[in-house]
Amino acid sequence: MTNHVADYGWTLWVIIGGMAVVTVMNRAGLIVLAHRFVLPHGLQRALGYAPVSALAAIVVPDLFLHHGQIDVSIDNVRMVAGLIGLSIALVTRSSVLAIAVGMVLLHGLQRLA
Amino acid sequence: MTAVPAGFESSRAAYLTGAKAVGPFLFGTVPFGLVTGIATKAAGLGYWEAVAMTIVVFAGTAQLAALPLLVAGAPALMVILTAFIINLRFVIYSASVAPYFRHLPFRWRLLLGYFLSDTGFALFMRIVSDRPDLPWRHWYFLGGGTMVATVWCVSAVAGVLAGAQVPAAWQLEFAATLGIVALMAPFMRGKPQFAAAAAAGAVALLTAALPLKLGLLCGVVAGIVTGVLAERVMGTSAA
Repeated sequence: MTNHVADYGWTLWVIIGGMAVVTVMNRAGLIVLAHRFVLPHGLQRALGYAPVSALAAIVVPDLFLHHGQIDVSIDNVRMVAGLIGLSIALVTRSSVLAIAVGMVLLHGLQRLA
Repeated sequence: MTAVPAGFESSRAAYLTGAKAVGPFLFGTVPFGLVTGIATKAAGLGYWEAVAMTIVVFAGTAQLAALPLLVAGAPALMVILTAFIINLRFVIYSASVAPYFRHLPFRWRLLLGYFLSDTGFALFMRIVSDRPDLPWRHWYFLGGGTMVATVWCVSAVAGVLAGAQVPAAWQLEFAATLGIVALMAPFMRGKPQFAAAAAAGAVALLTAALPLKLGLLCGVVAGIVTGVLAERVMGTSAA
């Protein structure tokens, strides 16, 4: 995969600043405005599904796309390592173990292929 | 677990109790910070960019999520929007703690908002649910928040420094992807959350060819709608 990080130039600083601003808004917004705004219950429940949805929407294409094509075969090393990592995280609740096993699988399976 | 205090004698006592209460949870913060730092450097960011992102953004999940997008060359606005969406959980925390800080001046509320973290939120809600009028409670919250922030920054910066020494052949940027995978797990406690994640992932995959990484937004919308509908059909039972 080609890495495009270097193409950003100074825009990367804009991105860092922007991420910081929206994060502070999310964190402090309602604490600062506490006395004039209450979050409706329905909206609060819907927002509860946003983080897991965003994480899945980032990670699934990252694992299942191989050279721009959907690849669900066992030869897709990243997919196999990612799915086993997820199972480990779900069962053991240990993210360190999930990351460690996933990295070992990535290298081990690449060597086998 | 520390017992719920009957009351604090001073701001100092409240601050120290808060800082100590997060102690056991720091065992999770340290490796998470290290991985985030290493993965940020491995993704190709410079030293200062990686360190600035760690300290100024102070949100590891959003930082990890930004990395694959940056590597893929996603538009700046899409990266910022993603950080916003991932940190929407803080809006919910913020709404829950806000009533306890209503009496404080603006600068205090802004300060407490900046230090809002997953761990700090959970511990704070536990103590105030028993004693809603606990005096010095904002100092307790600040103690936990500053402790988590300090440990986070030190371990993430250590990760950035370590990441620069690691050969590219180790492919440590994949640790960011695995980190996101691992962070999904605690959110997937119930069936509706599971359904939301599955729908978001499937839709994002099918719409991945859309320009400007718009498939990501399609996935998020699909996930939220599926989650809300699933909650209505199945209730909030555990998976």
